[in-house]
Amino acid sequence: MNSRRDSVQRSLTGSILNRNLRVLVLHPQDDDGLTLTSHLRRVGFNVETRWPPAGVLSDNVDLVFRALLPEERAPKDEWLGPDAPTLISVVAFENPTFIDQAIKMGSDGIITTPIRASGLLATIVMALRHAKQARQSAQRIASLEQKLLDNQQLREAKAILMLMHNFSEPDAYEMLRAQAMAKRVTVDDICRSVIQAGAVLQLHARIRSADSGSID
Amino acid sequence: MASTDPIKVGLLCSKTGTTSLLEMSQWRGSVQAIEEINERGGINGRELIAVHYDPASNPAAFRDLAERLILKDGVRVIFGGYTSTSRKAMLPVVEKYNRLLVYSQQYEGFEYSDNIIYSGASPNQNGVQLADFMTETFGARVYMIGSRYVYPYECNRTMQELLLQHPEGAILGERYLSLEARREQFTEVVADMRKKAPDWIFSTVIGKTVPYLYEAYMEAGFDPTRMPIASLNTSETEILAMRKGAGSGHFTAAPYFQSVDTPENHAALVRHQARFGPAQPLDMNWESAYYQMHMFATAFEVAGSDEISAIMPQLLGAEFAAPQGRVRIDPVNHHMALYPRVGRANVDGQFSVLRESKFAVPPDPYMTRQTLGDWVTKLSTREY
Repeated sequence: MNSRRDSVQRSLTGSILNRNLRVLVLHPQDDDGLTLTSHLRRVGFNVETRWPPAGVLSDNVDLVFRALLPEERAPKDEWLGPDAPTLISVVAFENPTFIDQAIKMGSDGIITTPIRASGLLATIVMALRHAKQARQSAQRIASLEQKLLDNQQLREAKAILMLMHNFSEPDAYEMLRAQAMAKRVTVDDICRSVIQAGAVLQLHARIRSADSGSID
Repeated sequence: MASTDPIKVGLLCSKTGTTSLLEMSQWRGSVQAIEEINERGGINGRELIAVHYDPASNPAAFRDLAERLILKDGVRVIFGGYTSTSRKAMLPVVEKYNRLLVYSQQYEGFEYSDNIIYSGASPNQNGVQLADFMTETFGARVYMIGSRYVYPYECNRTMQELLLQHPEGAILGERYLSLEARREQFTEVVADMRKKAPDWIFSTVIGKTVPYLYEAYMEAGFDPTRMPIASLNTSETEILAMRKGAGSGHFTAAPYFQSVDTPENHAALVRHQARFGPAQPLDMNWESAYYQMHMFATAFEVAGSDEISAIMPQLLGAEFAAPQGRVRIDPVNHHMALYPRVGRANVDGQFSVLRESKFAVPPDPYMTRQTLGDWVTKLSTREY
């Protein structure tokens, strides 16, 4: 029995549900608001409700449901932004105006009134998963961009040293690494210093042209 | 239930509030059709009677009264709703009790329910034709003024997409005022229109504030031959509520005007004037409520019941010789094939029809097949 359990992969949905999610429902206390909150509680989430939506959020909210009222043209809540929790918009009319509005607010999912219990869990799981993936992707892209920049600087710094001292590439790298060790900073910091020095000594232009293969 | 018992239907038409003027047009359409049905012997010999409540233009009242019609009055079919907000309020009720709602008002599209028949125009049956006509005639630089709720937002978005296909297309202003807005607020918007000088003004102003816009325009001394107002909802009834001449020269696109030249319309007009007086105009709201009640009666005669499971198959695909022409309920999307027309209001508050479709245009409520001046529109306006 245990061996069978071990062989089964852990359910993605189960792992999302097991996190004891804290859900904030920004919705008027009408029929739809009640259906929504009571189903979220039925599932076992920690549910808080608030209306009107003004104000900041407490730090530990995982998921927000936000009603987009037809009278509101372009809601701009204080808490919206890149670090906002996962957001599911609740719209009364499933038309391009409201769908666009939900997208502009950064929603990870949309549900339409009248709210039904069926379909809610699937939307929550997909929204949380996509929001998490999007966040992870954004972080990964940021770190790759940094790496690309560092690489570029390393290449430039090595080229400066090779030109100044007639070093081979491995020697140039070894020198940068040794300097970093001695000064207790990163290789990237040393690279930046070398490039700055190179700029002062006006070596840049010559390296750039050497780099691109045109020899003067 | 004995086979001679009357058949009861629910009518929710507001006698008061922001859209009561138009909902009373719907009421006259339903009542006229019911009287005609009873005069010819009722439905399979049974009298058709309406249980009418006044929701006072309040969406919450529409919801509560729809529930009351179903639970207290035992009604299976409800006719009514002018704003999309009121339709949306009734939708969960008819879905919950599995009853039929007949919503006879043109609206912005993007909805479907198994429990609703949408018998007014879809945006491809008025907005597309209006955009086509107005851009050809006046240009594509447009100022938008509407009431602050879902219909004007979505309607303007659709219109914007059509206009921006035009090389000179531009939205010079987009303003929304409350359904309860005061007259002075329109004076202020009209002053802004003077500054922006658009080719024409697209109005999605709704209900009792419609006359305020046209009157403010007239007071500003604007010329409808140079910068007219165009609308999808301003009808003979709104024009009657305006100061004399305020509607004159402005444009409306709709499947029906009182001036439509068909034998069915002439006959219905005579009966309407006999019943409600010669001063009371007909309009698009009257017409859709009128043909929809007749279509319900015909479907009931065949189905023998207004249980939704029995009557819906009879309604879907049904045709009827309406005052505007032969209309048909689309069996796939529950909207209707209708005859788009463009009219210009004259000094008497009636519309001169400038363009009309020779054939019924199928409804496209999700606007997935529309471009400005495409073949659908061209086909629909041929021979004009």
